This record gives sequence, C-alpha cells and structure tokens, in this order.
Amino acid sequence: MNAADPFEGPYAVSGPNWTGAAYADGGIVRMGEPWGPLNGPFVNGAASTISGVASTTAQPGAIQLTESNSLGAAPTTINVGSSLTLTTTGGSSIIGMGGDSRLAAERLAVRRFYHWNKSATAGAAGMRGTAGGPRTPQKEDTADTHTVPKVLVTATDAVQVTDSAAVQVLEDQVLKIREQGHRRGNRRRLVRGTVLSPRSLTRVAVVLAGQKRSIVGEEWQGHLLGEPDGGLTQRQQIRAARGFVLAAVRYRLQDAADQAWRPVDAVLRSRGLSNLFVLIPTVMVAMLVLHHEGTLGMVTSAESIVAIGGTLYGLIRVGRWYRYVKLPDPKAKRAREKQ
Amino acid sequence: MSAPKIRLTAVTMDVLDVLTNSPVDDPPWGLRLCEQTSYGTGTVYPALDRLLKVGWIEDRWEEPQQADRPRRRYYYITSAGRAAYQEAIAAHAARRTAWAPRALRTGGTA
Repeated sequence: MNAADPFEGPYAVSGPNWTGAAYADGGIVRMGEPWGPLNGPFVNGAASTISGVASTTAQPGAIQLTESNSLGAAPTTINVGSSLTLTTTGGSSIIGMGGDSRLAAERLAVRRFYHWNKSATAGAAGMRGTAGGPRTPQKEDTADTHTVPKVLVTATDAVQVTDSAAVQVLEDQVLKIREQGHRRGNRRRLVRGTVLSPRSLTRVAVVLAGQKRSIVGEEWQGHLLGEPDGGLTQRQQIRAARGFVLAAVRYRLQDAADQAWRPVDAVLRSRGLSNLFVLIPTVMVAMLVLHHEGTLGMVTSAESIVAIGGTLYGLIRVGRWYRYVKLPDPKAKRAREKQ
Repeated sequence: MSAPKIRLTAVTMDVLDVLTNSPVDDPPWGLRLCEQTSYGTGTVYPALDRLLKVGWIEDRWEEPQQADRPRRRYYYITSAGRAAYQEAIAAHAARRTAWAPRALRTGGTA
C-alpha cells in the first residue's frame, strides 16, 4: 500500500460472470489493465459489486470504498465528499469509476471499450454531485470483440458515439493513448508517468540544452505553470517536461549538425573552394592513370576521369541546392567592381 | 538582404501561421503556440529555435515581470521573416502546380 494513497487497494470487483481487481490512485479507482485485470464475459444490465475495506483517513476528495456497494444503484455516495456513480442501465458494464479531488484535476480511466450504446442516456461514470447525466458515456457490452485503443478522459468529459465505434472526447483532448501490453508491475510508473517530477525533469532538460540556452529554463518553468485561468494538470506537465527533454536533445543534435555542415558550407559558398573540390581529385586521378598506364591509358580512361569530375561537380550543385547556397552572379560582381 | 531560407516543415508552417495571425498586443508564447498548433513542446520549441536562428522571428521577454510567475518569452514574426515565409509559400505552391498533371492545372478540361 502506498503511504501517499491509503486507498490503493486492491479491491475486488465482481459481477455475475466476471471478476477483477481495482486500485485507487490519486483519488480515482481504476480497473482494467494495467491496474488490475478484468475477466469477462460481461452481462448486459447486470448489477456488479465492488468490495473493499473502507479507510477512515479524511483525505479531501479521495474515494473511499465501503465494504460492499451495488453498482446497479446510482449514484452511490461513498464518503468524505467523494462520490461514486455507476450504472448498468442499458446494457453497460463497468468502465471505471471517477473520483473528484480538490487537489488536482483527476482523471477517469477508461480502460476497455466495447461498442458504445447510442440509445443509452444514463451515465456509466460520474462525479460528485452528479447522477450520471447525459454527458456521461454508455456502452454496450460486446465482450472482447473490439479492442479499442486505451485512452484516459477526464471524469467530466463526454464521450460521443461515432459510427465506427471510435470514441471522441469532447471538451478535452484525449490525454494519452497507451500502448497495449503494459504490465501490471509498471502500474505506478505508468500512471505517474515518470519517477521525476515535471519540475525536476525540466531542470534536467535545461542542463541538457546547455549553457548557451540557459534562458529556456525560465521559459519552460513558466510553461509548466500554464495560463492564469487554468494551469496544466499533472499529466500535462509531465508530458510537457518530457517534451522539454526531447527539445533539449534536438537542440544539441542541431548544434552538432550545424558544426558538421560548417566546412561543407564553406566549400559550397566559395567558388574557388568548390572548383578545388572538383579539380584536385580529378587531376590526381588523371595523373595516377598517366603515371601507371601512360598516355594510351589516359585516353582509354578518359571517360572515368570525366565521370569523377562530373560527379563531384554534381555534388557541389546538389549541396548548394540543399543548403540554400546561392553564389553571386559573376557578371554582376564584375560590374560592381568596375563601378 | 533577404532572410536566410529554411526548410519549411509542417510544424514550422503551423508555428509561422500562428505568429502571422497573432495580434501584436497579444503575442503568443510557448504554451499558447503548443496549444494552437497542437504539437508538443518537444516539437514546437526546436522549431522556434530554428526560426530564431535564421531571423524569421524574434523574441521578447515579458515586461514588466509578474510577481507570481516566471517571465514569459513572447515570439514575434519579423518583417523579413514574413516576406521570406510568403515567398516560400509561393514557391511551394508553384512547385506543386508544376508537378501536377496538366489536366489538374487546367481544371480538368483538357
């Protein structure tokens, strides 16, 4: 059990034909992989039971489970200002339980999707003070026939039914599309996202970016704080901080690439150096041929020598095009010099 | 002298579009650019860095500094950058037209 979250669980979750395990994390009870497996098949409209040991710790907003709650009844207020709203109306089964936390904008995990029931109106998940209104999702139980990417949505988001059984989240972006096959052992790391806090990760990114770009530290710390009317959630901060690390790596790669291109650019920008780049290897090859095979060999190898020169000249032209190098027109240059 | 050219990627173009359409009195900063372009920080900030390097955009720190948060770094498109971007877009469109089949160029009447 995690000291920071005394409600972690696991809690046994079961229905008429299925069993599973749920975990509480940051005030949200989560079930389904990677938190806890759910073993179907699920039954339409059947009541399910979640059982666990109630905690008496009065953490604001944390969900606390009573010993046995019928999920068929909705809403079910659990304890300490938290609520649990689950219905099985209209052929839906458990998709997750949302809790309201005043400490952070908590997320409702929707771990498994089936067909979403277009005709259903009652909610399958809700927040404190709500009774599963029309904004909450419904789904139709078609067991494991459809595997849809796992996404996280906020508990207040609405999930809209689409023809292709895809899920569209309104009012908020889809937060995360998790890869399949996460192991349960990685649960904490996956949920929290990283072992480093966003601020620490940002500091690492600033160090990675180098002293030349140390000013990004202030910029990125400001980014993490977000807009005054709505800061970033913890998950968004982690994602942003990871992006900062990626940005720092890209800065460094760009710097390395710039260094590598510098001598090439010098050759491309100079007409004399470009000519030398073409002529020196070509003349050297011609002299070698002349030395070893004589004049006759020189004549027979003329094609190859011309090909070498042509290839090098082509490289110069392609390089100038790729690097946006445009040499001044020699006629214009001469005219300027005359004036 | 015109601003140096850069390779216009989708990210660069989106960032430049936002900067071009932003009011001068409410310039975008990193977070807003990320939100408006829907790209992550790992994509937007390197693009901004490239644009700063070639002088298409410039940055200014927030003045005066707010007491409760770090300063923001605002980004503006420069006049040279605006001209270079327009030129690049026109060249891009011309290249696309040149590659398109004749029937498409003439509106399918050929």
